Amino acid sequence: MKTAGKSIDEKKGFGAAFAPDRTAADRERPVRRSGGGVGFGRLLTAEWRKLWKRRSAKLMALAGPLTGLVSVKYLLSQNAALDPGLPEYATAGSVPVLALAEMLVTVFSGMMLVLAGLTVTEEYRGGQLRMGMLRAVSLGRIMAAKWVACLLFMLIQLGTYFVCTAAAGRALFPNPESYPLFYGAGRVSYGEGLLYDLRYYALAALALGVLLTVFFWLAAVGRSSTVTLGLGIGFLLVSYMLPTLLSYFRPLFGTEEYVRIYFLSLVTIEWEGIAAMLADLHGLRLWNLGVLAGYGLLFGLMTVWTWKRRDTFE
Amino acid sequence: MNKGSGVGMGNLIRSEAQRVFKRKRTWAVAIVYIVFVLLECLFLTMMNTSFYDAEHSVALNSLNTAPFLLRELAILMNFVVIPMLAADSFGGDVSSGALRLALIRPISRGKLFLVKWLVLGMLVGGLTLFTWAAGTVFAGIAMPPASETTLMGAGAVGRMGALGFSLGFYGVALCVFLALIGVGGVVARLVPNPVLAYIGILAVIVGGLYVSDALVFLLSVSDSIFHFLGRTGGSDASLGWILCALLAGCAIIGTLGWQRREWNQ
Repeated sequence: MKTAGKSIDEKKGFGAAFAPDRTAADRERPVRRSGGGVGFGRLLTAEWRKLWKRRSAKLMALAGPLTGLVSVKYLLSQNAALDPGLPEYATAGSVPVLALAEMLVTVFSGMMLVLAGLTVTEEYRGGQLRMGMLRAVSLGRIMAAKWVACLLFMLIQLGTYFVCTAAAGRALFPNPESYPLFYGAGRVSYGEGLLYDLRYYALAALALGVLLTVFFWLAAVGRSSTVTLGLGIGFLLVSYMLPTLLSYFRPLFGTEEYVRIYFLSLVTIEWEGIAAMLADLHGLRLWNLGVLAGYGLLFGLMTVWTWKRRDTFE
Repeated sequence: MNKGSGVGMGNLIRSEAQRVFKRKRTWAVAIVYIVFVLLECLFLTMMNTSFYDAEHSVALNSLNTAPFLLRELAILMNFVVIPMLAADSFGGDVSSGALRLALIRPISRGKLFLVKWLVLGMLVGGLTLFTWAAGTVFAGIAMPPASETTLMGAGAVGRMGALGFSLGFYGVALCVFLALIGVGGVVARLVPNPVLAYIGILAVIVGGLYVSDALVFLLSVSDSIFHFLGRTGGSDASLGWILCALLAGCAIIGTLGWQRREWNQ
């Protein structure tokens, strides 16, 4: 007993010589240690820093405003051929939504896939993750931290995209008294239109978050990063092709049934579903939210299960 | 043998083929593609119609079916199969370090690029040939028999004419695929990370649209080839020489780029 106590004391002394002086305030601060050892906040900071350390993440962050510029240019050329009474006609208020609509399915979805492929599959399969796992942290918590970090990245991207396109809309596009919304959701003024845009962006963020969850599962299952990307692109292609295929069988269904089956795919929700939700067309608001929740729960649980039963020491 | 550069071309090809086929995902993606070929056949029997492009539909029969398999399959090929293979072969081998062992022998890097292109070309060529064969055989069995048919550009043709047309069609399609593999080699030279190389290849396919309408053939392979073979004019009339330019450009840029590559990075 005595010798053991002594040796611990010696160790303390040894450590203290190298450790920076802890102030009294430091000592009083409660150290949160929940089971695993490292708090979730610190994991998140680590993952956040790791994400931004990548040159590809920085490039992707630049890609957001750049694609905004491209679609603003496209909308300007498109406006010349459109009747100002149509909801597709871009005005200062509707530019953020119109510019996001096409980029959501392509660029933003692709971004989610790259994030999942880079941060999960590549780090896990390449062995980079081992460094992080020197500390006693469960894989599940690391993956949760990664998911939150990617989600934050996406929110920032959407935010910058909104600011850029709204500014471009104000500067370059006509600003009428009021303009029509999609699917006969009424006419709105500029201010109301911006609120509509914000609601649109919130739903877009939700849809992207669900898509990110799906990709996180694919990234957990994929044996290499190229496989993950192949699976992800395959998922997007299938989600696009099945509704197209469905349109051949259009006469077989009633309108209500048809739109419900049509919006079972994440890509169609991103493409047309969000505007339909905001207009509450055919009671689609609840249905689409349900579909999103279903995808999120299914793939989220499968991801959790995958990481739970994976042997860290493989 | 073994004069000058040291290692014979045959051995290089054999070694590269071993690396490509050693990867389980090469087999997986090839099998997935073949399954989709069969599904596509099933789909065409259900529909009995297909499309030259968005405006022109066509009733299918035993002679004209073969080219239409590619309408959907080319998307799978261009967006999944080729980017995966190219990113793994051109990018993955470098960034994972698998190539170091091969490079112990004094091999010309430019030659290595061409060998990789050749091996992937043979693999994709095999898949294309399979698609053509499956389409031809399946059309003969399951589609309404016909002794004569009309094809865009070729007019009314008999059995041999239709066979020739479909072979020509798949030949041009193979050239498109080869060009895309070459693009993959150049992209992976710039960004060896397989994830980024994969996305880079997709970015070239989609971004090409913003550069020129004439590059649309990377996206809508079968429509463009029908337009090209049918001489309907428009932006696809230039497909022939653009394809040649793309192939030559990738060969030159790729070879030079790989030769100047710094391997000790």
